Amino acid sequence: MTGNEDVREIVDRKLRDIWLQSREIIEGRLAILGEAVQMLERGELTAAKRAEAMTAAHKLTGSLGMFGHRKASSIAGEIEARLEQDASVKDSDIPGLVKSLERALAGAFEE
Amino acid sequence: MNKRSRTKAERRAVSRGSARVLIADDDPIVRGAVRAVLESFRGVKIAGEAADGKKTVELTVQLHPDLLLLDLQMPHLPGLEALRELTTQQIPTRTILLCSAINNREILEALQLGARGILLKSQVRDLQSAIEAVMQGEYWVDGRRVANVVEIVQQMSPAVQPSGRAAGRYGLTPREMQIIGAVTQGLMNKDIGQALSITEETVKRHLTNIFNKVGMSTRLELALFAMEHGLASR
Repeated sequence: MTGNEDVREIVDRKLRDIWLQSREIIEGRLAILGEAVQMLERGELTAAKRAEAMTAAHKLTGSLGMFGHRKASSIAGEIEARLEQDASVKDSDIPGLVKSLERALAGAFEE
Repeated sequence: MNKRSRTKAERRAVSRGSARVLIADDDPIVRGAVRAVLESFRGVKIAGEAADGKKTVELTVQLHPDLLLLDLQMPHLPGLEALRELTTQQIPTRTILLCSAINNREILEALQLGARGILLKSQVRDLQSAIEAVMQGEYWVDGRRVANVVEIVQQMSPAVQPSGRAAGRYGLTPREMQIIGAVTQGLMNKDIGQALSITEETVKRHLTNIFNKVGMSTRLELALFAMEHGLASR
């Protein structure tokens, strides 16, 4: 393996490139959360959409953390946890958390 | 590294001059990022990728990678269940859990199932150090290289006090309980012998008896078992 310092620079550059290439997928996952919030607010969140949103939140938690967006990753983790508690009172927190997540990622794709 | 102490996996990786790695994660972005990171390391080759737990087991059995980077939450078979299934196979693959979040109970379970490293995805920049530690026969836990994993296990386990009833259940003598306590503290045979004023050979003999009585075969298993069953305290 090469020197740790050089490798870290290479790793950072590669992660940055992949982050930029992943924009569409990340935005797609955010869109799924947005749709779930709309359905939730209308009282129409189905079990299937909840499961889809939970998967999106879970994947955001992992990928955002990997790319250094720790705050956004942590918010996504909270959304996932709330979605996991099937239709509990905690659902009321979800719209606010999704907004916080969008705010935390504002400008994150600008080079 | 002492050549005689190398395991089959280490010897294979060393003789080839590279470690073959299988990436297991259901998120294609994570797999792509990990692949790119691994490609930055000299001496590491990608053996394959799996997007769910079942495929992970299949590919590990088929490809015998030196190292498995395993996510915890995956469809079809969760990471720890995949790891449990792999423990039944005689495969010299070492595993590092690469996950978003993990609690102490899951870390202990993973170590018990033979995982050699735990790395959060947010710490992926430490992946090279983690791989080096694990391929050299050590552990990577809590963001650092760990030679004696029993110490880590002890720190993470809930506080318990050893009980006479637990000792009686397994037919353990007071001396054996002392030895279990010392193993759980991460002491090696030589240190235990000095602390108890007995020879290293006697410590080994006691350990063999203890392993037979509780049905464990390694110090790590014994330490985990002891803390779980009230045979040792923190």
